[in-house]
Amino acid sequence: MWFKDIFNPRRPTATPALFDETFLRRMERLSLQAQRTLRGRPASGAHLSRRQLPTTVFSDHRPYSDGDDYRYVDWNAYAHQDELFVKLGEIEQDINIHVLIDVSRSMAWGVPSKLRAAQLLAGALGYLALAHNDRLYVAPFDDRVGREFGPAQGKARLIDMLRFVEGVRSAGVTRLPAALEGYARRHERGGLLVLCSDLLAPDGLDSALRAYAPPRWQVLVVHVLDARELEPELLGPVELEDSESGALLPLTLDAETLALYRRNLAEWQRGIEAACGRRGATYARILSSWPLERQVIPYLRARQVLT
Amino acid sequence: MSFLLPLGLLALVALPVIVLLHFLRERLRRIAVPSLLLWASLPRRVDGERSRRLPLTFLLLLHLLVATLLGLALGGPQIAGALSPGAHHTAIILDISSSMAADDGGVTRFERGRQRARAILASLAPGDRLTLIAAGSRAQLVASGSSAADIAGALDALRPGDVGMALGDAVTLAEAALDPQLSRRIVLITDGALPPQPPRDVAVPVEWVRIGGDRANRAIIAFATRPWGGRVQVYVRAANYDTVPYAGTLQLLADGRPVAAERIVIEPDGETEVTWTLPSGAEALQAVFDGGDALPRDDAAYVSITRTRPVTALLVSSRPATLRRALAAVPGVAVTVIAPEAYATATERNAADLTVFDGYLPQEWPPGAILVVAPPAGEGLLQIANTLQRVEGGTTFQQHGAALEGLGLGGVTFGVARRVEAPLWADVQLATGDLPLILRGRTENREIAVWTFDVESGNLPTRLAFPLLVARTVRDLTPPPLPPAVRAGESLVAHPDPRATRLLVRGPGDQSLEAPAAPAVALDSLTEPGLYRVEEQRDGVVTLTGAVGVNAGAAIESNLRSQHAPPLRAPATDPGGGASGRQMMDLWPWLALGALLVLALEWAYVLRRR
Repeated sequence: MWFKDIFNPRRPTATPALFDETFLRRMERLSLQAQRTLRGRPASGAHLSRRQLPTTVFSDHRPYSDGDDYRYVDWNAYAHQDELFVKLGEIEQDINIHVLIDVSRSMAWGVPSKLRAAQLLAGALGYLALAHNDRLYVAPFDDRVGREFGPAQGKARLIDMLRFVEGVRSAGVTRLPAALEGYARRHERGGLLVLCSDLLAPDGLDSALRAYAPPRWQVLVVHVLDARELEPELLGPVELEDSESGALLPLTLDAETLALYRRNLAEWQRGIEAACGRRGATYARILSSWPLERQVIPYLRARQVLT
Repeated sequence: MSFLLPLGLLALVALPVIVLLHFLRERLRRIAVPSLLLWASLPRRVDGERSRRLPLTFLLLLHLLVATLLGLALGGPQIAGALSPGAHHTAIILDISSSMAADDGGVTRFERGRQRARAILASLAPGDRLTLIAAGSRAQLVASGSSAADIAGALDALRPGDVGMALGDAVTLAEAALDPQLSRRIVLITDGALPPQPPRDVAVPVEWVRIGGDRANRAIIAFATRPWGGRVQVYVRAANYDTVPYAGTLQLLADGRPVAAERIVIEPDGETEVTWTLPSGAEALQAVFDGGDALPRDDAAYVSITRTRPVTALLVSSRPATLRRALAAVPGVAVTVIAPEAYATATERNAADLTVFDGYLPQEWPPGAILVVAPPAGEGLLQIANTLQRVEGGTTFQQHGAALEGLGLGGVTFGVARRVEAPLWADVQLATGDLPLILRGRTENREIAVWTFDVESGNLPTRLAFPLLVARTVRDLTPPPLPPAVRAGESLVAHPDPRATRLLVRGPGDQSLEAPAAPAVALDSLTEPGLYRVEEQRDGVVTLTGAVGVNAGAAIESNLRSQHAPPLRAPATDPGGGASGRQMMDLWPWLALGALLVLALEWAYVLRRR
């Protein structure tokens, strides 16, 4: 009904489109910072590979060994030094980019919802991947990974990708290890994994990231939180209801208990950050209320996730 | 601070209700969080301790504040405002009784009183209010407000003439009209010719403005007639309110022609009575003498000697003897008899004031009053049973109504009667057991009585009760006559014929009044002494004429000498808020505004929390 939000003007009545065209054009100037250790296909793509294959693009030499292709022998160096050297060089490659969106019920919490922030980010990063000719996979997950989008390459798949991202809905509970391990088994080639989640799962992130070890995988954990999770505006006797499991927890909240909550939150975040560090993943925390272009993108650039 | 409507403070019971609602809400508040992961390890309180404690939240304070403000506003609180120099409300009670028409040095007392009232009106300051009340035989609020022009216009329109002064009513009216927020006072302008008044407490100061001095006066204070063996006996009483004897000639005029005169001598402060016996035939009498005093209007008196209202009765009966004899014995009734078979074509049927149907019932009621006697069985205008029931002698009767009051029916046997179903417009005035004998009611502007019994079948015609019953029934069904005379200013209540459409009253001089006919027409403006002609008209045709005398002479009005001040116990100053010059200021608009502001604050606070 038209009047249901008359007393709550801050709640939007309709979800706007993810992006407009000018924003996408501005995004095109950016690219995802992929590690050179990632293995891709040299046929296309713009990411440099750490592998120094024999190539016509010179960057280094190594002594010739049996079986090397004569075409890459540096005959000029042989003329000077009487030794055979093979020319080495860096090649540009495309990589697999996997964007996993947490669609558990806890992601629907907040205004705007954390899922909405994750959708925006996934759409933006997905666009970057398509624009730079990488192979893109987008998949929602809760306790398992749902139907995935991809592989997709090239900007022609942009509309399909945005529709897919926009169409994900929150449901279910988060099971990070079960979902992520299964996904890693299906994608043994590895790639750049962007994990957009609030990470509110009883089983930890550490075990989930075990399957995403470098150098095959490069992981970016985008931790989406709502401002009210950081500073809850609650006081007095309340009955807290878990948005995923429906479990109830009666509590009397006062300054003391809220201070304890904040301490728990800080420890939890430190634990996640440490797990990411241990597993070679990049950790970035964003708030769902942050505007994507004015706050999230600059933040990711500052974190060297985008260049 | 005072409250205009203390009952409104009952709204403050909302305060504990709000506390209770918050208490329940606090106990049951369930809040969804993304996950209990971070909350589960927090220490929990004991439930009992939680349920007993009511957290004093900002919202609770706001709600209590709103309820308090609204509850107080509903109580209509007032506080005394700042001292204000003006703001008076004066009620002028101006005597318009007959004695105020007395000459007092070239002008009447009333004119002097009016001048005093004008002087008060001229002294009104901006913001002051004035209420003008005319006190005659009735008290009447004539004008009120701050407009001097309006009040002056109403003052100019007043005329003296009423007999008597309703002082108590006037004071009550003034007390009610005065604004308690202003400084109040009552100014009573009168010559003091008042009937004895019981002591009375007045809430506001009363200033008595005495008009007129001692004046000699002589008056006819009583004038009446009565039938006396085919003649008319006339009674006149004259009084002399003077310190010297009065000698003069009292004249009697019948229809304007002198018919008798008598020399009278009245002692100082004495009265004299004169009686004459005259032949009947005149319509109205006038008694007059030359008082040579300050109030000539009470030197003459008028009376109508038409005692009855003529009634044309049409008796529709096949055996009319008994009823015709009884009807003809009623004074003023002229009876015409026709047979039931001839009724349908009779020319008199629409002209009769009273139609009596004996053993016959028409298809529709004729105009005028109707008496139905022993109606035949049928289901026409009345639901009448076929069977005849015998009403035995010695039975007890249930009787009520003016026509039957005090009528002895002991030993009367009503013979046989048919059961008549009482219609909605009628009630049973006489019954034995569950059998109605007399029904009385009014429908479609017709007065109708139904005698369910056959007059000839019992012994009623042989009893004294019969002619009495017939006479009372005729008087009950037909309009009463005009009174012979009324006092000046007294309401004349006329009961015209139900078929009349207009009532016209012509007074002395050019005075005339006109009113649409109704069952009772009250005429309040007969203040000029004289003989008033009353005409009933039906569609422009005069159907009846009568006369009423209006007299100004009365013992209390005609005594123009100094009287004691009315026994009014009034404070010297206004004990209310207005007497101190303070105006009471309503607080409820401010409280309501404050409640609105707090509500807006609460709305913004709630929105911000979301």
